[in-house]
Amino acid sequence: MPFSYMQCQCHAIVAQSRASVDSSAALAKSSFDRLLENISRTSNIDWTGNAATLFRERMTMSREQIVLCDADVDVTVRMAA
Amino acid sequence: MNWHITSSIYGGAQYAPATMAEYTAIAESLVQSAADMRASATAWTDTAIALQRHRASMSICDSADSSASSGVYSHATFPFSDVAQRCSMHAQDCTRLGNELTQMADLLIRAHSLYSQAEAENRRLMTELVQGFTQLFPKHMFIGAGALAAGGALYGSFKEGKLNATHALTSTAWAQEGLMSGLGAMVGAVPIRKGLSHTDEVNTAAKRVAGVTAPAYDLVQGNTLHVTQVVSNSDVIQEPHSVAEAMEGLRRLGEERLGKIDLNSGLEYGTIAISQYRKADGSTSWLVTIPGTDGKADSPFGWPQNVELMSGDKTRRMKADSARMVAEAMERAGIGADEPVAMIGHSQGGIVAATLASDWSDTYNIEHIVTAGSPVANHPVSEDTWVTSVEIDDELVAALDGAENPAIDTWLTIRGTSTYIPDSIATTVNDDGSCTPGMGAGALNPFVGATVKDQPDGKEITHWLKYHQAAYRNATDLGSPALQQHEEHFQNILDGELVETTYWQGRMQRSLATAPAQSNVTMQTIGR
Repeated sequence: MPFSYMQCQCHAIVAQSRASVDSSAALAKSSFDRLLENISRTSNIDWTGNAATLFRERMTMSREQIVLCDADVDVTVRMAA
Repeated sequence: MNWHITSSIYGGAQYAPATMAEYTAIAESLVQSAADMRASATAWTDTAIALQRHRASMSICDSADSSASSGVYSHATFPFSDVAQRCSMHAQDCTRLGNELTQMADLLIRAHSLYSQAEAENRRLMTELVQGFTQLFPKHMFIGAGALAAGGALYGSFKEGKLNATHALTSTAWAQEGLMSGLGAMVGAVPIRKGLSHTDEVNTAAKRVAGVTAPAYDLVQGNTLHVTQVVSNSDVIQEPHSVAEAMEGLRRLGEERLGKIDLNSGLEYGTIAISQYRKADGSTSWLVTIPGTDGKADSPFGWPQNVELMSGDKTRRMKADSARMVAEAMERAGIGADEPVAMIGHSQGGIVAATLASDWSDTYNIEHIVTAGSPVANHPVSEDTWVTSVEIDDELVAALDGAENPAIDTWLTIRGTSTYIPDSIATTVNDDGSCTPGMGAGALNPFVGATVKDQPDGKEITHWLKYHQAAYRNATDLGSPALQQHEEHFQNILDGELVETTYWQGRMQRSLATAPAQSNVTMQTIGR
């Protein structure tokens, strides 16, 4: 057998690829966690008016988007595993 | 429809230090999260590229890009294409989130004026530096300013596709107050040591200049003021109950009297309006609407009167024809000494309002003035009078005082910056709560700026009132508590029913029989 299990370079490359995905995922998920925390702090702001309404809508949308993104990242990590 | 005004708010009531610190920390955390998202986006993009590279390097391995086992136990498999595609998708999501957070943090910062104090301090420092250098090296500074103006005009013209010198105002905007202050110090013979610790060099110079120009212009124009009540054929000033409505009335009157619009009123140049309100408790309040310079030969609102109004000398200011005219009209309209008065003025009209509030404070109860594009920073307006000023960065006129407006509870300044955003109209929330959808960048981020109405294709001078209206609209949309407080104060003065609006026209004449600075008040009313 010309290529044994230990000899094929694909194992190392795939491991690198998985590590890269895992690293990006970890960075994103920690950023998401901090962002969710920061968004929850914005509810303390005493602010009314058109911009305040938009701000709160966008913060709510961002929170929802983060949850979706976080789930998407999990899917990617599972695909790469 | 591509010019937008982005507003920042300075002065007005400030938060308690703890609240300010909390809001600043929140804004900074959002800015940091935006940076985190961009870092994540970069990481995902790098991963996507790395996966493509890895896949290419595995071309020798026939089972590389397959999620199914090839049956050869010695190879590893990885879904490179699918995962790389998902990494790119994550990068896009993170970028979108980062941009969104940046915009929202900016909105939060502008609405609550979180960095306004630092910005004002930096501007003051820059103004004093430019002033100092102008006094020390006047030739070099004015050559430099000329080069900056010429470069700005050429660059702006190149981008616009046609020659337009107005761009020079934008490129020199940051230095205008300093240059004016330096010029004022030179003309007013203010020593450099004193000049750096004071802000009223222009007013000192204006006092000196007006001592010559005012008597000279009196010889040309005459110094007898005729104030006549005239009747308008249409409701030029409708029934303002807010700053925005009063500004619209000011615009209509200003443009109508110069013939820029036709409301069929019959009103001419040199005309102001005085609106009387009756409150629920039976008391009376007033709104005085004062347009700017019209420059007509026999108008009290000519160009030289601006110099008198800017004088650091109270007696000289009070002799200015436009100020005398408004004071006469207020007296004849029957404004009582204790009745609350709100005044709104554009350009010279705003300087007149500040002059009345400063120098006629014993005669009238002027509770609030709104100035648009008026250089009034050094007018000694009492803190009993609230001042709401609207200025555009590159309009030049508002910078002629060579100083920042005071940033105190009762003096709030909205500074607008004009920006060209191609194919964009900002979404507008109307007074009745309905929404007029925008397009392009203005729809995606509606309060980044307010669209200027009736704008030409190219860059124009931003001193026109429609730019100040856009600045006020954007500032209002921000929901600044400080601005809301000023708006409420203004509205409280005008919260009654409109009784009537009277219009008053001023004309200057030579009269040998009348002593200088004396008004000849006529009682003639021009009928419909």
